[in-house]
Amino acid sequence: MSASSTVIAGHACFRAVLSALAHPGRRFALGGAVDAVDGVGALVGALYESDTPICCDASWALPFPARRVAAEQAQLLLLHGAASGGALARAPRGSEEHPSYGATALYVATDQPFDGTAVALRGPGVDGLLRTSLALTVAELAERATACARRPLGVDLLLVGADGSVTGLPRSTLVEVTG
Amino acid sequence: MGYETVRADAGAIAAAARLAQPARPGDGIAPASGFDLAGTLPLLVDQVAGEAGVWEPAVCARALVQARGDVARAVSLVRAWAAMLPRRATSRSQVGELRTLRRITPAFREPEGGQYLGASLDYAQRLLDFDDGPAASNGAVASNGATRADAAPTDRAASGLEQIPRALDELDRDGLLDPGPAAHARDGTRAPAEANRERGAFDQLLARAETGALTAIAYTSIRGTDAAATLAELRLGELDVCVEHPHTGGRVRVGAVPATIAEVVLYGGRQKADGRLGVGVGATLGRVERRAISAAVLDANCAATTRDPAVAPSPSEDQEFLRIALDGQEATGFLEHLKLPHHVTFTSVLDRIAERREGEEEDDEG
Amino acid sequence: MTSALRELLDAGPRTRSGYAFAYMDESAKREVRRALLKGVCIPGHLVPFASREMPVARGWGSGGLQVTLATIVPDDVLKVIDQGDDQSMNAVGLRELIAATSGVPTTTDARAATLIQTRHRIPQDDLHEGQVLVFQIPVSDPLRRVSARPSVTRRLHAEGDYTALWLYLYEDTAQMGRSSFTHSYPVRVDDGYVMTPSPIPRYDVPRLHQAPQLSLFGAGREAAVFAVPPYTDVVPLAFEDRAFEPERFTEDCWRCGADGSYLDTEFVNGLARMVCSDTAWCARRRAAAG
Repeated sequence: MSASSTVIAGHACFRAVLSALAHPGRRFALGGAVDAVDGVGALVGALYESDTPICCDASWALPFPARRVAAEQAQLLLLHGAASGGALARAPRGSEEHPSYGATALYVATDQPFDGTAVALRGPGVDGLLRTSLALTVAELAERATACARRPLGVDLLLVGADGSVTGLPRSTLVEVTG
Repeated sequence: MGYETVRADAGAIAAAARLAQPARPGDGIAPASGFDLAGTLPLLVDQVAGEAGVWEPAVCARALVQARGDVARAVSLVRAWAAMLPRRATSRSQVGELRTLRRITPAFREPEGGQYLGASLDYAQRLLDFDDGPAASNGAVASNGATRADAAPTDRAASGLEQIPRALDELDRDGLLDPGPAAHARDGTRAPAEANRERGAFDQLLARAETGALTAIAYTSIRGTDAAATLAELRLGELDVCVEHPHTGGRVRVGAVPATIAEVVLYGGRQKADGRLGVGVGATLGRVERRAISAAVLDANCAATTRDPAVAPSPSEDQEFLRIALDGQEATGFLEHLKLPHHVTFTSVLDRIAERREGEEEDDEG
Repeated sequence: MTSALRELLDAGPRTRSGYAFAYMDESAKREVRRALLKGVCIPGHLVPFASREMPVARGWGSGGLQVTLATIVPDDVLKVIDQGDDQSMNAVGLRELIAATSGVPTTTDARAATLIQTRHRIPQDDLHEGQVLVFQIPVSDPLRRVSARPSVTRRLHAEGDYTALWLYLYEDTAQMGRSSFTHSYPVRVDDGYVMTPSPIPRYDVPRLHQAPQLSLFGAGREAAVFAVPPYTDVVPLAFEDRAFEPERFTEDCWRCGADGSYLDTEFVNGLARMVCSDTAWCARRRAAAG
């Protein structure tokens, strides 16, 4: 891709993520991303720096060599599938004066089919109540609830689908598991 | 009273910009072609470079012309230009590596390494000179730092003096200095303000601060209420800009910037005296010395570890206040923003006043 | 002098097309973007960011500009207003810069715009879902009148301690029967942080409550951004028994006859007339009336 089309793709990507977090539970196309791998690369390139502390394993193809750290020090967590294996629980949640230092966790769909958990969402960005399904296990949603229990501290979640779409779950969203 | 917005309908905004443009050369208003601003007004160009935090005299001179001589606007132009340039490398230098062209030590009569007045207007009388001939004999400054009054040979002036030890080293060895918190070199312009509260980031802010604000507040400090400040050393010279060679990894000099560095010591004042001298360091790109001296005074005051926390700090000791007051771009921008339309908010204010007066009238009648 | 610099200085007037898409360099955009995303996740919270030098002065919309430039996409339709007016000097300069460096089309119709940057007003038209409204912020902290020190106000926000604001309100109400707050009326967001809605008049404040658009707030000089997602509670601080009061106008718009829009004073043939502050909305009404 030429330099300027990468730049413009970055804009489209950011706008999708912004919309996703502004409208929790709804799916937005990550610009021209065709699949999850595409989507993650574009998203990371549009938002993060080569010195951003990232918790991820070595399998990820990122636009720059990542500065890999443990979950406790990460600003961004890259996770395969619908659960984090405990990483979410350890990720920074911010402080009272700086809740924005809480991490962002990116769950990326894998080849494994996953039905998703039926939920009802409420809170900022949701017009009343939204019934939908999220690609997170019930246990993971419980971990999220714990991580975000002391508002405004918490971790913000993004889910990248197999179709290259992104769904947002900011810490401000109230999630009730219904299914 | 009516509050009309200045509107673009009749081309008013474009016209204002056209009128403000420099007139064509030759009509006595604009500088003639070939006018060397950086050569003729080097300290003005240095001030722009110092406040912008960018050493590129040709660009700073151009900015001054485009800004019609308004320093704050010129700094804006240079900073905005530099902000979008890619950051290729970081160069680290030590004060001791400065190729010194001028060095004075007011605190010490005969320091090791000696004192060199160099090129400076300090020793010239402040008599306005109406003679249009060659530079008068009372010590005019030339842009390359050499003057007829300076006995140093030309090649020495060009290469700078040999390594001169820091004037305060001996007092340091004797344990008489309290330097305060460590300062770590970092670029605060690329991190949010929250991350910039430690001394190194604050010193960078001082190095790029607005000259008038620096001088005003440092002046209020030294005129008596705060600790007594003595200028220990002032050095002016050239700092090499070095990068790592991409193949050999060795250190390669790619250029040099002129810099002025000052060290100030503090004694007594509102601080509890513990027998040691506080130390402050100030620096600036270019040769406007009061920038470095003021910065050193403020750095020393803010770093003082012996300040009594029960007493409210004076402005020169108050880092949080200084972060707000010293950024010339924030200050001038916001001050001048008062010229923008405010009639919607003013209508809101008048509405409140009208209601209050009505309320008072009702009370009077009731 | 290097040859690259010589080229730069010898080049003719720099064409805007020589700049990167949306002017800012990518790292500057990423810095704003990260801060905005956290702002959306934590409604009303002041998120600090490394505010870049912009070609507009600090205090003249450099924060709103950074937010817009980091957010804009080629498909956007842009509207920029100041005091509700598309032709105000501040709006004209910003609109030209954004449009020239991004190539997006511009409009004065708030219904057609997808991205609106504004100073001191919300457009008179009701906005809809999917639109982004970017506010220029001069003073970012509603607690500024309580303390000039960010270290103090940060602590107060952390503890949810807005007592001082309530005291101001109480004293005003006790002395005058009503609040003396004019514009920039403090609001509580999502029952959490108290925020300034920017210097919009009180008239515009209720329109932020459960609004369908995303509202982003950029303070370049103070180096902070904050956000209110769509469908979020935004409630002006007020005592239960003292209703929040918008500005009152006793006349209709002299130009279009609207009653209930926010009005400005304009001189027409030497006489003071009250006319709609939202000039495009007013012009459209006049055009529709024939």
